[in-house]
Amino acid sequence: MKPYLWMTDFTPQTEWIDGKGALLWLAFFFSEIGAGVYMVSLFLGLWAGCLSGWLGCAILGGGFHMAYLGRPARAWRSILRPGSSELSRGIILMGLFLGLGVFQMAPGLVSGLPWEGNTLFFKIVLSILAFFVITHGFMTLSFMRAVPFWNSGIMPVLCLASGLWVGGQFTAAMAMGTGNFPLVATLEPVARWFLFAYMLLTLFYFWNAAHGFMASKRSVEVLLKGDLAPLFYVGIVGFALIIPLIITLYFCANPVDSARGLLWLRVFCALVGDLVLRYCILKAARYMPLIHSNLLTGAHSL
Amino acid sequence: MARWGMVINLHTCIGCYNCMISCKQEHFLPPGIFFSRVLVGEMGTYPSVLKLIYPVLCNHCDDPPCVDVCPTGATHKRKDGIVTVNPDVCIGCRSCLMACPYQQRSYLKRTDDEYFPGQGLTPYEAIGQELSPKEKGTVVKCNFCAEIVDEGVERGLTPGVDRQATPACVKACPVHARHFGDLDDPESNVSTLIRNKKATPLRPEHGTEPSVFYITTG
Repeated sequence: MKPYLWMTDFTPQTEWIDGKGALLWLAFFFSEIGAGVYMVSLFLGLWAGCLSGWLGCAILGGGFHMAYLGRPARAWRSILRPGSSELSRGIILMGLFLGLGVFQMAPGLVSGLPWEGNTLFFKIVLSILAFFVITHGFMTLSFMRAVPFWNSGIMPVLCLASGLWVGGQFTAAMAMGTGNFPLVATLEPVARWFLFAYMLLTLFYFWNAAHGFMASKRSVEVLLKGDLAPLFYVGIVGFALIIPLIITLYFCANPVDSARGLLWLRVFCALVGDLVLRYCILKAARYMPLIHSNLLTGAHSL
Repeated sequence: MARWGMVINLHTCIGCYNCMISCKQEHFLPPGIFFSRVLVGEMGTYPSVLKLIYPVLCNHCDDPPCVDVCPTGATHKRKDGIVTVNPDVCIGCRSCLMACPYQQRSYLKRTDDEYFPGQGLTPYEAIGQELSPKEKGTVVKCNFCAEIVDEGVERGLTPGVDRQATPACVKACPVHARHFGDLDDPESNVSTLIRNKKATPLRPEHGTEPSVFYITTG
């Protein structure tokens, strides 16, 4: 971008996607999908699923978050401003989720503990905390008024749908891996609703952005016609929406163990598609031009 | 308590970059980092071309979005309206960079860059690293030369009027296009200019109440 385009054209955001910024994209993905896996597994009573989700959230999500920070040794300071900073609130809630998650999973690992992990208390409290962890990333983005593409109330809801859909698919993959097809069959009707919500919210988010501020319209243009178009059509339209939809429709009419390869393909598409969706949302974000047209009238010649 | 602000007269500015260079000198900024910039470009096609010169810097907003999103409190607004970053507290999350609609913040990826790569530090750079050490992995921005302003106020000087208490970019401007002063004082130089010349901030629709105003009319 030439210097003058910075003031007269829409500037792409780079800090949260290019170079080391890509670590934040991965951090959001793993922490949110991990929490989604945990939440779905918690209600199904799957201890291994809860552990996988917790590890994904803590090790991968937390690890990428720390690796992204410029001064990770001071990360503890990020809990100091929950009153105004969404990032601060998210970190606190993630800490509570991970801490309480240990207590919930401990009885499955150590026998003789004076409490049980599969209680209504844990289910309610940890579901609420998982909900906040799932929505944390997109909620942080939605608070950025400077980036109209992100500054949308649909973002947290889309994030929730994404966490549950992809988290549910990951849980189904674990069930398939252990040969537990009755569980996959139990999950299938729920997966349909998760996919339906995910598709609806994804389309609504882009439609809403295309009818919003100039900068968010430009972001949508970049996705539909610009550099990101191949990624958008293959990754989001193909992998995230169309292929899972076709497979899900197939399983509406056929039992889940009739085509196991398709189940694996759907899990793969859900993971890749959601990763691409998040990448595109971060990469397509644009700032408004710095110089407003009413000031341009006052600009002078040298 | 004063609320410091700046007025930049676009009809007087000649695009000499003196403000940019003096700012870099004052704060010993490493290569690629600018607190104050002069954006020069053109719009339109020949023969109807419009040359644009816009000096830009942190707007020290009265309602700064960068302060709200900072999870540590490293970015904070002082009582005199100056928005600063405490490098000892910043964790380098860059939320403030994302939140600033004016894109006036920079992330210090490295602090050991040399102005002449492979040639070692110049004596000036070496002194800068000693006098004004930078924290790698933190965010930096214009602070309205708070150290100069504070020292001047302590000595009973008036920033914007007395040179010893005035930000470097304002002092360096050879055509007096930049003016610094107290926005809360209706009789100050900046308040008078804003009133008489109908100065406006950049993109007021962001609702951040900037403290930097531009005179665009003759």
